[in-house]
Amino acid sequence: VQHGAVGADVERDLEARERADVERVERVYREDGARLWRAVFLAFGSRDVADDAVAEAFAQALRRGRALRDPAAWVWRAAFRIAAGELKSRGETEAFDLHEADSMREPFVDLWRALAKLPPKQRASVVLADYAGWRHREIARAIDSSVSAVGVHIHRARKRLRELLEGSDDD
Amino acid sequence: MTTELKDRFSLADEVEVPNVWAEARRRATAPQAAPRLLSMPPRRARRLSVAAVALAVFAAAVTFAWDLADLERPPSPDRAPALDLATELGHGWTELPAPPEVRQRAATAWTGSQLLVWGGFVFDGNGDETPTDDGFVFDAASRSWHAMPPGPLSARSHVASAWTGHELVVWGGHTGDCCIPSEMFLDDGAAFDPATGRWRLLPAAPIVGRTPFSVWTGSELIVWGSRDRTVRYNDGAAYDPSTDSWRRIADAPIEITDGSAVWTGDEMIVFGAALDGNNHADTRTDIGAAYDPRSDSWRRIPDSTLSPQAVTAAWPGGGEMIGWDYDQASAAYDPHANVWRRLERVPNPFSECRPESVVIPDFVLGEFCGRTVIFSSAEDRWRDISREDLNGWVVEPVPAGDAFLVMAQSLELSETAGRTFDTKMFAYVPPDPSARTGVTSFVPQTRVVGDLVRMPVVFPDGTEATVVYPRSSELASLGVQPAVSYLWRDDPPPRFPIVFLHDPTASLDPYVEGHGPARLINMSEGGIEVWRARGNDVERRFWLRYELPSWTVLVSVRDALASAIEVNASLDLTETRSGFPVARAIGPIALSYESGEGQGAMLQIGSTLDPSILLWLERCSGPDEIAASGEYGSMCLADGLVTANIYGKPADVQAVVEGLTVKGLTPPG
Repeated sequence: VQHGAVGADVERDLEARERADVERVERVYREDGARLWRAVFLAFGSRDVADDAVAEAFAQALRRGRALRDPAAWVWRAAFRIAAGELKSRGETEAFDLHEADSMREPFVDLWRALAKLPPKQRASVVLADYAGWRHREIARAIDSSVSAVGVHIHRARKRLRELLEGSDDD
Repeated sequence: MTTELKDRFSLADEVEVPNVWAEARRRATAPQAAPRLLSMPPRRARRLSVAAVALAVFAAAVTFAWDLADLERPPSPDRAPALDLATELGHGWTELPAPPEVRQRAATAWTGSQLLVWGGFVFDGNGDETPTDDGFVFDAASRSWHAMPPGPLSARSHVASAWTGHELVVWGGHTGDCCIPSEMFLDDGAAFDPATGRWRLLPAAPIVGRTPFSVWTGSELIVWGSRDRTVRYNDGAAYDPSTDSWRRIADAPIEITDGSAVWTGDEMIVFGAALDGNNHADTRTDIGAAYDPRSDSWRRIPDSTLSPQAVTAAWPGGGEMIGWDYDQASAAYDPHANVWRRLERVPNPFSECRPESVVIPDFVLGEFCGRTVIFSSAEDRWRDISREDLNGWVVEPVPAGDAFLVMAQSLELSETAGRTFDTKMFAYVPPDPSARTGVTSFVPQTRVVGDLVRMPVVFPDGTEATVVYPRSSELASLGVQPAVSYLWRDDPPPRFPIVFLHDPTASLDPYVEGHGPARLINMSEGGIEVWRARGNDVERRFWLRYELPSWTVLVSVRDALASAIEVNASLDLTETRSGFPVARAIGPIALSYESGEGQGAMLQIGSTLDPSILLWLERCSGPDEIAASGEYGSMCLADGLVTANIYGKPADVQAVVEGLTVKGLTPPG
């Protein structure tokens, strides 16, 4: 940073860089925003939590600009951690609003109800793995866990989901 | 079935998604103090109000110390949450916003989320070292610099300073005047609280003004001696911010003017040499002494072989002080054994500069003529990490949690009065966080039978078995790590994380990260140790630390000493002849097993990095499963008594799934 007067060229250059930074994050939102929102919704069970966590994650990404090496990966991790932080601040482990199921179609509603019965880390792990297609290592970073523990979470989550879904199918 | 689950998940794509981009843009440009209110259309009344949720999220972001959840923090009188720059930025160098100025010999502190820089002088290329009386704050969350509120102290450099966990304490320093000591040195101090933005003056110190060596012990700022060659002092004092008072400390048996002071967790070591104005040293080598605040006494340490002309030292943990000199010789001092050992030379070219060190846990960053090198305790070696674009720049590194922040200023000489310099700032995160402890992997005995390898193992609950795998897999060389996710009590159900470290003298420090070195606060007759992490009372954590012949076992008992006593009375730890640790719990405490997300007793072959095989005692059934990614597999072994997860490259996972068996499972007793 040069001290003293900042020339018009420098100002234009800065504006161009800022625009490029915003466009980079906006591209992530266009390509991944909806999927991220749905993943947070599935993992935490609340539209309000998903709204806020996703908006906040993108807001923080915009503020960081080019300091983020991989804005897509960062926004996903940030959204999950912001959502988890919100629940922790409430003293809750989950925010599943079972009334949401009223507006859902079969057979998705069965999966949603089954997800509500999983412990939070199992649910977040299986959502990130089977809905978002993440690898175990990436999931571990997002939910503040180890790679090995994520494998266990996913294994148990799948097992439990199968049991619950088979039960609901029988119904 | 996994495919069916994924098909069900794909139905989520039909869920209607609101557009939150506008809200994100609004928040990104809104004043940071503004509460984060969503401007979405109201939904059904049964939900929490949107504003309440938003405020809850806002509160969470302020108070909850997850590295990413807390990145954005509006200015607030509350304490700023810790921010894990190392995790956020990733390994290596990352450029950050440049500082307004690069201050040399300034007071600096990393608060956990902000870098504070106060006083010092700006290099001007002409030898003018006029000190300053103001400072700057780098807020890592918003990636921005702003001015520090004005303080009561006059301009100065070469101060003693420390971050106490709440305040930046500053004392003493140099006025920049010459040449009468009473006009050169300052004897007052102040403390700045970034949470309130306020300064307060310290009481008068019981020693004369100076440019001292200093350390922060966790409870006291110790100032000692003088770094200025015009005066020699061997006296010092300690300031305790909790009582806002000073005490004199015993006089040291040595005098030095150049070198370093480090805090080992038990002692302050001052190390270097006494030189005159012509760079002539009093001694042939560097000398040192160690001060113990508990006994208020000093001891001499053995002389090193390092050059007395210019030397620096730092304490990265791991039990040794790392020193190096301007000839690039390096050595380590172990205060317990009271011996030095040589280290490899520092990879810097010869030059005429003063070496400087800053430290984070397990790493020392050295600066020499603008070049940067790093010493890794785990690797016991130096490596050059210099940035070529900073060649010839003035470089000022400071520690920032598990990262270093490096401020730099261009160095071109100029005859133009009032000229300005370019400044930059980078973060450097050491390359391998998993190498931050000296813990070695445990490689058990194996027996080769034909094309198979048989590896007898003992699960940490005492269950014995033999793991059999193809010789080509070479799994044993990866090391075996036992794990029990928790000890727990049923009602109420607190869980106590338990950690096995294959080093009977492993340090507790890496496991109390963010709270500074742990301090031993009690030792019972049963041979256990109860440690408390350094920090304020809110953040205290108690740990039980056990030593087995080849393992250290740590149990976190949170903030309850009563739990420590209960866990200790219920836990029986032994080591088998084959070297496996076994934990047995009795009474109200049990090993976690099938408890919520607990994982029970398990063994991990390999590290958390690829490849890795996790074996745990859980009944299972059904066909083997290979995840679609190919990097994960799950198996049911030992007639349905052992579940295995495998991670690694697809070919490795496939090979393990096809070749791994567990035989001879024998429950304890």
